[in-house]
Amino acid sequence: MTSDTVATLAALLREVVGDELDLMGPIDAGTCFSSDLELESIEFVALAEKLQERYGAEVDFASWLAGKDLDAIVALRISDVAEFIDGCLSSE
Amino acid sequence: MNGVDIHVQEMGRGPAVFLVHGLLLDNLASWYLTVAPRLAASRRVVTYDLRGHGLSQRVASGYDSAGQALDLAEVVDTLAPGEVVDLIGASYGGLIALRCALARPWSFRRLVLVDAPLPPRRYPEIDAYLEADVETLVGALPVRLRAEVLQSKRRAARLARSVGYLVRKTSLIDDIRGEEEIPAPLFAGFELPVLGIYGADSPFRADAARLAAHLPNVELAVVAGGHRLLNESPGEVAAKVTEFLDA
Repeated sequence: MTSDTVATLAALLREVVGDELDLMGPIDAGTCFSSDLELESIEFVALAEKLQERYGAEVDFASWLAGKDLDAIVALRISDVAEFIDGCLSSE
Repeated sequence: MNGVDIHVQEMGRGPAVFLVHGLLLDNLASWYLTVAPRLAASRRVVTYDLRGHGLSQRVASGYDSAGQALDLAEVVDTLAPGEVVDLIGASYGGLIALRCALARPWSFRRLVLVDAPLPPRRYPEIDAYLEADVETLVGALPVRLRAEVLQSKRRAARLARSVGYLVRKTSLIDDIRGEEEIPAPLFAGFELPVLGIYGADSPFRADAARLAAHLPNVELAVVAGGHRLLNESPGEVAAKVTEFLDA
């Protein structure tokens, strides 16, 4: 996982959530989308769209999520998504 | 769409299928994070937020199923002009989907209704649901989802705000209460293949028989779970849908 990817994720989250993100503390690899950021499901969808705009079709976030049950989605951390993205980009 | 800004999301490639979500607690994430990606393995999946829901424009009126069927028709015409597409609606979205299919059957190839309260007529379950406050609505969620909402003050507050808006600031409740029976002549000659999926423990389970009585070409399936089948049994729902659409 690269620090670039984590920084990109933080920037995209800011676009989705807005200034409210500041109230939730700093975002790093260990930040959990659900318990730390308290993201709503529709915000998760908006983040998926941002990822697609940013990285294009080779990062298929939606299909990756589809393989996970709700418990796994709730437990997702920034590092999980960053590693997924890096994996997609390096396999080209 | 229809004078309202509608939030749309798409995934996958292949024959188009449009997904319609239910009222109040639902938005397109109800599909997007459950069944939609499973269908997107072999299809172009299009889902959207109903007016006043999710990231679509908040509007004061137009929440009856016939009116929302016009929104749906515009979504289909805009994103798949001239195509014949598949259509799936869950809960009240099933009623919207059925209304749309009855109004313009030539636009659709196959129709799936997931635990839809049908045919539309007032009965106690709907009244009880509409009279419920936000706490009661959240209490009706499957255990896992309920915990998910209640563990987060932010999520609970945002849910209360969006549902509270729809219940108190729009005509949604009056529109739903004012729903009339679909006129019988509309069903005449309606031969679209329909799959009705119902939850074994759903309060709308008995509607399967009503659906079959109104539609000549209907298959019925029962899967484990209550009313919120997309969350409770996404794999099973996706499997039934895929089998039906591929037939």
